[in-house]
Amino acid sequence: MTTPTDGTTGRYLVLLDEDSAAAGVRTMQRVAGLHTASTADLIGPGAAGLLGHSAGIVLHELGVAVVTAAPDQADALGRACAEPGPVTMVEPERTVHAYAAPTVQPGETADETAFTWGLRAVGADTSTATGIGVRVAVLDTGMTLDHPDFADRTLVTASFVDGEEVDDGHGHGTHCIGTACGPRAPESGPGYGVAPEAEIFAGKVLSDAGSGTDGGILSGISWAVSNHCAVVSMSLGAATRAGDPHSRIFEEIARRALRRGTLVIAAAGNESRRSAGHVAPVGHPANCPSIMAVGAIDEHRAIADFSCGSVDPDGAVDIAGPGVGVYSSWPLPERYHTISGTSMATPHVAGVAALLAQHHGARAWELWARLGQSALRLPLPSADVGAGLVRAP
Amino acid sequence: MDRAADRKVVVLISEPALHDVEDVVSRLKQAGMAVDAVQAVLGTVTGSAPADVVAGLRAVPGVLDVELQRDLGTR
Repeated sequence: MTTPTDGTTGRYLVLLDEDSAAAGVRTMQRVAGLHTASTADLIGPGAAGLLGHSAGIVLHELGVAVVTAAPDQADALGRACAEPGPVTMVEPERTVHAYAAPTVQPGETADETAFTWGLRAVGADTSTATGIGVRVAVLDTGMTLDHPDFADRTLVTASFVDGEEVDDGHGHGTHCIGTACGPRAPESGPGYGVAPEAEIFAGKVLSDAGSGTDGGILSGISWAVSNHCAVVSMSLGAATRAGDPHSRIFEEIARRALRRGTLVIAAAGNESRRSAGHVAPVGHPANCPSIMAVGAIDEHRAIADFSCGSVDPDGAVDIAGPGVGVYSSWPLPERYHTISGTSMATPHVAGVAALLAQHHGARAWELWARLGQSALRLPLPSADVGAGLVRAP
Repeated sequence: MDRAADRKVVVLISEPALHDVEDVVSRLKQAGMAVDAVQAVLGTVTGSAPADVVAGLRAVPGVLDVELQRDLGTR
């Protein structure tokens, strides 16, 4: 077999139903003629010989098989996924690399003396709106509580993670809050906050390790709605597969939140590898139609390599924001950090939503419409950037 | 009961039942769900239940939908 050049290895990952490894081995043999060995049997000196005659191996504790399959065998496995049985998912095995720190090539727009490129791109550097009187909830890893740039700000906080205080032991939440609601004129360095007078509601729904569950997120959204936050910013999610339905429950609660005046905005996701020809679908929960899904562009107004796209009819990217090489606040001692992701694009949109909410008195669906109406149209597919680049009033 | 075999679930309460969330929560507990939190303003209830109980929660009066909880992370 030749080595593929699209970032995959030519092998396939086969996901088996929980606790169905043995049935999975039988099914793979029956539908695709693939003989696989199981790690459950790989004890003792016979292991190498066993593997030598197999097309692959079943990692029984994970319920995943890694197999070498010809295209027709891979197709047969794909068909088996659609039928009842232990084989639930097949995908090409990818070559993975540790992420290098994102490097930003200095360009003509890269002057960050006074403001970050993101603030300038969305027009927050010249906006007279500040978000004053508007409540913005950022549901993430929490907020560092001793950052000098937020010393004179009122922070309303709550943790929905068992056993963890709201104080941000990760950094991601502090960075997102900085972009949405941080200062435009900090004591040192460029201005980086879109809505510097918005009221900050920092809800911790992701642990200091950066993970959480639907339950904590729903509790965070509920807290934000109860506190009359006009905007909920969620730089979080879970990857989906093309064709996956969106969560009907998150769709319904997003509608209920809108009826109470709260707009939920979420990151589209970072699973694309556009340079390798791969566009991944919008993740959960941003793929719900009534949650605004945010894609990421770079300082040259090109779509970010990682930004998820509108692969499914109802999992659409709605709008785009700056998400590559974004400078914002970080827990001490670093104080500032520059990172990339649709996570960074999302609080740019949330901050502009606060400005629009102040400027027009808009809430809920009207606020959604204002965001789309005022977005700067880009010469990029709407499938990638929706209405375009979010713009401050 | 082996709680390790439990599934984390989220239950959506139907619009008409939103005025008596407490009653729906009581019925969910009777049906075998361990309730972690009630997001009354959204009309959701989160918690866990044995795998063989999960499907039956959908039949509890006032329940519109039931989903298994997902794990999420920073993006």
